Amino acid sequence: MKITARQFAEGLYGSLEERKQGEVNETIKRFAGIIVASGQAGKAEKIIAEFVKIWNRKKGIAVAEIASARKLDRETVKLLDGHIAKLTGAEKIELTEKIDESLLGGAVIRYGDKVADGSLKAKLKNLKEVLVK
Amino acid sequence: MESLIEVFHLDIKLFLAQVVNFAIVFGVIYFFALKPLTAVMGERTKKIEKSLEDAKAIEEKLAETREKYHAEMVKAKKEASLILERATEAAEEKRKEAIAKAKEEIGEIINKEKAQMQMEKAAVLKEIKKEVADLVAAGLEKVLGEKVDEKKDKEIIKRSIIN
Repeated sequence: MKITARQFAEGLYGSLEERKQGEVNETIKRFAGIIVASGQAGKAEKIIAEFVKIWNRKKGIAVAEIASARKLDRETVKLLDGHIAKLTGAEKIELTEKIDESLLGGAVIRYGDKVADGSLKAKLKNLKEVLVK
Repeated sequence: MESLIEVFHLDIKLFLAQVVNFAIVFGVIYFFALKPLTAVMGERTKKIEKSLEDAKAIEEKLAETREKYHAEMVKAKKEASLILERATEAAEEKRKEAIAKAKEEIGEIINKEKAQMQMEKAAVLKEIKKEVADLVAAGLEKVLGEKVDEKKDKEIIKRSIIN
């Protein structure tokens, strides 16, 4: 039976969950050896990506990106962080910021496979669509 | 008798000879002229009678034929009239059908043209709306680019979170 990247990732998470800090490196090395031995080394990147997803889900971490027209101050970022936490239900948010001047104003929040677009660019686009209808 | 003979100075022998002569001449004329002539005349009479009968028969036949001809003519006229009537009815029916078909086709053409016009109108209207929307959006984009500063941007973000 062929083992998928997700199944490998779940296996890795299961084996790491109960380990102490000192045992983690050894476990990862052994796991890498198993992957190579089973000829699945090509799936390494997918396995890592799936592992990160599982890790974040289990630990209540949400990865999000905020795009805005200009650099946001700490207060706004904190506000957005809280908002994303509400949206995702996560305890901790791993936030990355991105500047996109074409947004004109407002912000676009991307988390998981979802997008919350509160930019002026999106509002203009909606306005155009309403006018054309 | 003898007095008569004496009065007219008749010679019996001569008289008899003349009677025989006459009989011979009569016989010759009868057999060689009168009898054939009578036969010819009889034949001729029969021919004429036959011709007359034939003529009468022809006349009767002609009259009968004429009657038949008239009867046939009347019948033919009636049939022709009937055929003409039917042809007229069929022509009228076809004319009505052609008119109905033409009306239907015209209606279809008009409907198609109307639909085409509606589509064209809608396309033009859409194009105009798009142009207007592009202009409005371009104008707004320019204004927003100039007017939205950090403070306003922060307000926009806050408002979008609340909403």
